[in-house]
Amino acid sequence: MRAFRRWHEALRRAVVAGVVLAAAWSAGEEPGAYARGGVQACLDCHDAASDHPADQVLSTVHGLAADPRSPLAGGGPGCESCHGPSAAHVTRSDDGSRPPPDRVFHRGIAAHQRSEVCLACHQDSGRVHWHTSSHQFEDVACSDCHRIHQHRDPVLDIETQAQVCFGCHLRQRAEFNRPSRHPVQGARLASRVSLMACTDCHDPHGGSGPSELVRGTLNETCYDCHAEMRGPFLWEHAPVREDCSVCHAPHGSQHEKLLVSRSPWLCQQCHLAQFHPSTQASGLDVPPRGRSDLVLARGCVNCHTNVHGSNHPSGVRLTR
Amino acid sequence: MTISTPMLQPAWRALRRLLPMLVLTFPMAAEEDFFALDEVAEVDEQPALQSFIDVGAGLLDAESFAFGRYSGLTGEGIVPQFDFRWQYRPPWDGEETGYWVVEGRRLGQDNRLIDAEIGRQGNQRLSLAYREMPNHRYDDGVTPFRRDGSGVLLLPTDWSAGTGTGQMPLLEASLRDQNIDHERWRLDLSYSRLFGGGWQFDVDYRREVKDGSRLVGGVIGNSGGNRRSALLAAPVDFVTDIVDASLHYSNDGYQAGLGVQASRFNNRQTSVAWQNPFGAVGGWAAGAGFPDGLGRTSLEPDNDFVQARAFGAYDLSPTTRLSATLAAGRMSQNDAFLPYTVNPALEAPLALPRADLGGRINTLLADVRLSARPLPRLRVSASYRYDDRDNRTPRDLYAPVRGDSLDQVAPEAGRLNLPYSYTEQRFSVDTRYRLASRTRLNAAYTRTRKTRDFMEVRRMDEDTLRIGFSWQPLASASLGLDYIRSDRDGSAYDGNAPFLAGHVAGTVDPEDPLDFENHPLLRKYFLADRVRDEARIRGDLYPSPVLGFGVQISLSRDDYNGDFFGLTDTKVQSYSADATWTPLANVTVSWFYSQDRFDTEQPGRNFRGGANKGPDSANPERDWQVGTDDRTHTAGFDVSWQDVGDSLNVGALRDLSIGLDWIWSRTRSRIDVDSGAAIDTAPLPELSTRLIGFGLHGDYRLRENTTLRLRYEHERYRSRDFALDGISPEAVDAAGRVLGFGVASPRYRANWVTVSVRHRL
Repeated sequence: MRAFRRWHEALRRAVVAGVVLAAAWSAGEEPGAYARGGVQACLDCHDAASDHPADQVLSTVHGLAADPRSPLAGGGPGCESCHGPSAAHVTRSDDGSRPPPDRVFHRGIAAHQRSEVCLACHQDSGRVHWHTSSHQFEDVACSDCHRIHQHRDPVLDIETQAQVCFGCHLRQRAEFNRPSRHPVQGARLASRVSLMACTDCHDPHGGSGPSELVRGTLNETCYDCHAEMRGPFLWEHAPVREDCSVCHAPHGSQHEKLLVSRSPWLCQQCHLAQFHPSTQASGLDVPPRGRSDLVLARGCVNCHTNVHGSNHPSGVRLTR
Repeated sequence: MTISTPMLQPAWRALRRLLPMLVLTFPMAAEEDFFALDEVAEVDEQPALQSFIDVGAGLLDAESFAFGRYSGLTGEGIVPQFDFRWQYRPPWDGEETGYWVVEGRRLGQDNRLIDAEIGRQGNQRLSLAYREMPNHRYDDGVTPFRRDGSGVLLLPTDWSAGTGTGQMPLLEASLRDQNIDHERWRLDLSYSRLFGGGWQFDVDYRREVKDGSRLVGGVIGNSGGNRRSALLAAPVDFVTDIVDASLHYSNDGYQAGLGVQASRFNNRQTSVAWQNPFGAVGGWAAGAGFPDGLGRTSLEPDNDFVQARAFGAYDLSPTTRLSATLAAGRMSQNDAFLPYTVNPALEAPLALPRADLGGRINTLLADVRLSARPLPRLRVSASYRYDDRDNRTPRDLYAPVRGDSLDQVAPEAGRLNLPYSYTEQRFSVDTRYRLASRTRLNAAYTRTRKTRDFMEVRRMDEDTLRIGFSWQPLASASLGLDYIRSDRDGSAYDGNAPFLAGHVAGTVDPEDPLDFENHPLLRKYFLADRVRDEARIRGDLYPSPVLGFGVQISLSRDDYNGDFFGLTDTKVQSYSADATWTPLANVTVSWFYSQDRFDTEQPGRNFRGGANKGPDSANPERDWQVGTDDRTHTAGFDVSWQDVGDSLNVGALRDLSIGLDWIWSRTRSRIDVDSGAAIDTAPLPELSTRLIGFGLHGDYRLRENTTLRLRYEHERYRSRDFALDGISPEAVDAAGRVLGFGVASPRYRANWVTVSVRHRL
């Protein structure tokens, strides 16, 4: 195993050295050549005042030359590590025009071509499921979400991440503005600040669970913050054990507690027993025509308070 | 970085010396010095890292839990504002890799956040994140109960009980204010270490404390007819610890790893007991009513979870990749049982079958995926997923004391617990084919099989087919269409299966057509046969590099068999649009609008028990039908304009940046009830909410490093909820069977102003 590691390390260094030497050898050449001047040549134009500023990359993880994994690592091709050999972009063409860099990352370029640049380095365990993820299959590229030239990538900040996600997930943005919601926002208003990020529950790079959840199942994801619901309980409520979303809309609802519908009608979708469980609730049960605890206050939960399960020996009806 | 305030300069100098030393002393794994640095060209200046300190004050003119639900801004007055970020990164072209950052946000508010990280880039990283998350629910609750040292919620000593809330003469005088709120304190501590050769170790520890109060319903009674309930403010006192560690290896062609997750939940309040505010009610045993009557309900028991997992991915070829995850875990719970009853006046001679549940659920999750590009234009992904929840909790017979109101039932009237298990297997194939450079077809098929214990449907199969098309006629325009059909079909629906399994054999006659709990025609919607049709349309248009539009439409319908009771039809319609405009490099404008509609149809039948059960349950004139229509409209608009003066070429405004946020949301729920001739119904009032909020933000640069920041926000919220509005504690039920909490649906108007000075360090 040790010999294998030595060979592997030697091979890896040889490949990297080959790339670097090839870059150095080809610098100054015609199309396909690397530019002279390294990072300085790029940032002379792409400074803070540019329409395409890139100067902040020097304050990001990608811009630390002492980290050998960084695109700007010493002796490497710098910006052209990602943008490809772009000498022609730096020097202008004979007709005075400036051709684009070898690789650019706007939406006109196929997503897989943009992402493969990132994936050439980012092959760590967080990318195990990327190739079968929804984003990859929907042609979402890394650069659609990440802003690697910015000192603070908005998608990595708890307070700004949701705005990035909502750029595509319009329906989810509306759901998070409903009266009952998880505190995921994106607006700058004090009452609507994000205390959670989308990535608290979802892994945008793909996961082993449904809907790219961070845990293997929906319930396991919910238990991360609602561990009290895990049980097991003596008296289980069957749908609770199986799937929280049978009753709850996790992004937001117009009904209390993120419920998909109100009590008693939500409960009556599965409970239609003699007497009060099958009693129709209507305007006769609310003022001014009447009052019924089946509808008013908390409805069924006025009595059946342990709807997620009970550990009380007398709690078979989830009232204890 | 510089600091210009003279008083702070000595401290700043000392810290500047100290913190790099801390970084340098941070242990470092073997460095790779493969790349030479001397070939990198000089860059004029590294951009500032924007360390800052922001100090000021905010003023709120409203008292509202609803406004401050997640912000903690619940009361009138002045709130200190304090934010900061302080960081160090080494020169980009130096030889140093150590860095640190510490940041605090909203430190003067209850939803404060502190993040800190220190590390050597490419080597190791230690981070700490601390969040406080308030959740203020009700500030208008009232209750006659008082908490005493024993943990029992007691009534005033002069309490006068009645069989209903209308016969409690001292109720109104005994009420006192009670808020319902809780707060989470969450600490995340993470360490990550990169070893040479592609190895990486990560460990995360999280402690979350949740403390406060919540509403629970405390009921005493043994049937729907003699139930008496009181809404109680119960304590929330949770501590959850989670550790997640993993070791993984990655290389160009493969990744693999092992991990373990452990979670422990500790509830320091495992029950709540209360004095019964109701006097003796017919059907209760002596001693169940006031003054001796007590009730007790359990709260969530402690639990543990541990899971080991292995995962890996391997590139079989440059175009084919195989990945897999295997996770095996165990949930367990062994909190000591409470006794059958808290009331010593009630007889409970039968002992508990065990001292604790000994609850255990074994979990196994396997997930294998293959993705390939067999042809340049074709992408294929196939996956198989196995998810098993094997509930090994012992089954025993429990003889309850019903609602702390009667002596213990005889053993034959006891109930057996039902430890539900399920196994789900899912096979899926997803394909994408590129017809032309800008046109793509996609198709997917998924087959899901789920098997369950103790439930009405033992086996359920679902076939899902999705076909789609995406077209990008121009680089600046795209259109996508998807249609999905799912057909869910289960084995025979045995509505009495859990009822029979939960009773002692012989006490329920499976052949008796009237020995059922739920009506035989009920189909629980998460188990019922169902056809789901869904269509999605997405369009994007970028007529210029500075202007973009997006439209999304999603329509879905769940069609259950309409011959049964329960949910029979669900329709969801969602229409969304957004636009972004960047008229100038330093100006961005965005807008969105969404309309959602959720309709359901739900028939049922009202039937009584005893001698009426047969005739009623067969009488279609006792049918009722509920149709719900929930609608939501949401719109938002925001503008950010940096350096206004530069854009307008007005020197006086050169240092001004402004922003505007506007949010509007309106919801409406209508519930239509219809019924057969044998029962009466009446229309229900509409439920509604309306929110409008806007904010004006302005930053004015006073000096090079100092900015004056002003924020003004206004928010209005109104809601109408017939279940809460005007319902005093004694008026929840005409018969006075519930002692309520008196909360109303929220309504507020709030103005929030902050002034602060931000100084860049």
